[in-house]
Amino acid sequence: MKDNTNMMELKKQIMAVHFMLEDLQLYLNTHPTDREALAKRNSYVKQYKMLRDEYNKCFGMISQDDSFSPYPWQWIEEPWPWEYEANFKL
Amino acid sequence: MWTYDKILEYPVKIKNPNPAMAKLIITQYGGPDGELAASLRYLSQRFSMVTPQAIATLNDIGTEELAHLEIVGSMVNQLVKNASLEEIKKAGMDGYYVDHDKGVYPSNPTGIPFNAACIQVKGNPIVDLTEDLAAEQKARATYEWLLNMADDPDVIEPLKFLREREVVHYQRFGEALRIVQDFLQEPHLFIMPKPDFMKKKD
Amino acid sequence: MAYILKPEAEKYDANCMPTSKCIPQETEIRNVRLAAAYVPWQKMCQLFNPIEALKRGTAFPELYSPFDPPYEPQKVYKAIKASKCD
Repeated sequence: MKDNTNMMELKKQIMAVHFMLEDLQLYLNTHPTDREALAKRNSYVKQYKMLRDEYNKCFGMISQDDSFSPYPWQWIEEPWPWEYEANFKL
Repeated sequence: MWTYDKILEYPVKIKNPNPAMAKLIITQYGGPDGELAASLRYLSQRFSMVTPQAIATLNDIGTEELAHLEIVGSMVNQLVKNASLEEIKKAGMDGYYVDHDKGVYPSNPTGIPFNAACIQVKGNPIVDLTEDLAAEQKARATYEWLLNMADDPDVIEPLKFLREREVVHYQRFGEALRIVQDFLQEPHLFIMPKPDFMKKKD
Repeated sequence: MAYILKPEAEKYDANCMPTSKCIPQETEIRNVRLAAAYVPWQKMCQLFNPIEALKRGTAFPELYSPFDPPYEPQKVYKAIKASKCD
């Protein structure tokens, strides 16, 4: 299903950019004065926000507190992240 | 406080059931050096830690370990979900099965439930960070032994990811220890202040 | 640094990093005390692109530690010891 491949591709991008954020944030915790790292991290935040909003618009909710949900309540929709169908080959 | 993002940190897509592997991987879920132990340890130690950098490190690595816990649980779940009862019996998982069916229960591969005795929160910042360095090495070694036992690429990829994260966490805790050591200027080996009760009272 | 500008090219890998003046870590530790442990400071130089970083498990090439199972340290040690005693 073409829609499913787009969803998986977007999910892959979100996962990857979120991972950059994760690793950079850990680095910044012990290197709070590294300007370059901070700038990189902030630019990834912009990317992450864009990707997340795109996913929220087209496919579903990634986080609860800052995503809109259509009717009915979309958060409970399957599949959940630990299920086979929700994942992809990297 | 915590928010939950409905996405794994690393994708887990395991096609072939393998209860024997699930029985081993569960050690990183509820075992002594697993992700549950790690996250509980770091999230508990942060209350008595010093310096903003070290507290933030404990906080964020503890949170990431919860995400890893989810990955390990997903692996166990996907490895047994479609396994037949014969496969489960052959893998020696029948004891686990009668107590937990195909659920994910925090225990080690021999069935010993998770025990907080495997972690320590000494309250002393240097002790706690040293323990965290050891914990990351233990977790990394456990992943290496698990990788020795694995042969399915769907299982090997997430395990390799998790192992690499332990290496990175070791570096972060090492840096936090440098910061805390400089801050506290410990240990004082050359000057031992006399405790009050030993001082001459005049 | 072509790979930073064109991440989709994926022409780099951890084993052939471009030569640069940026050393990603502390190479000397000074003013050390006894009975204390010191892990060298890391310094950020380059980063992997996001998909590559996710595959490898870290955004930092200097922290990437490839692992090829099976790994049996006791066997390796015995082999080295055996080769030395002759």
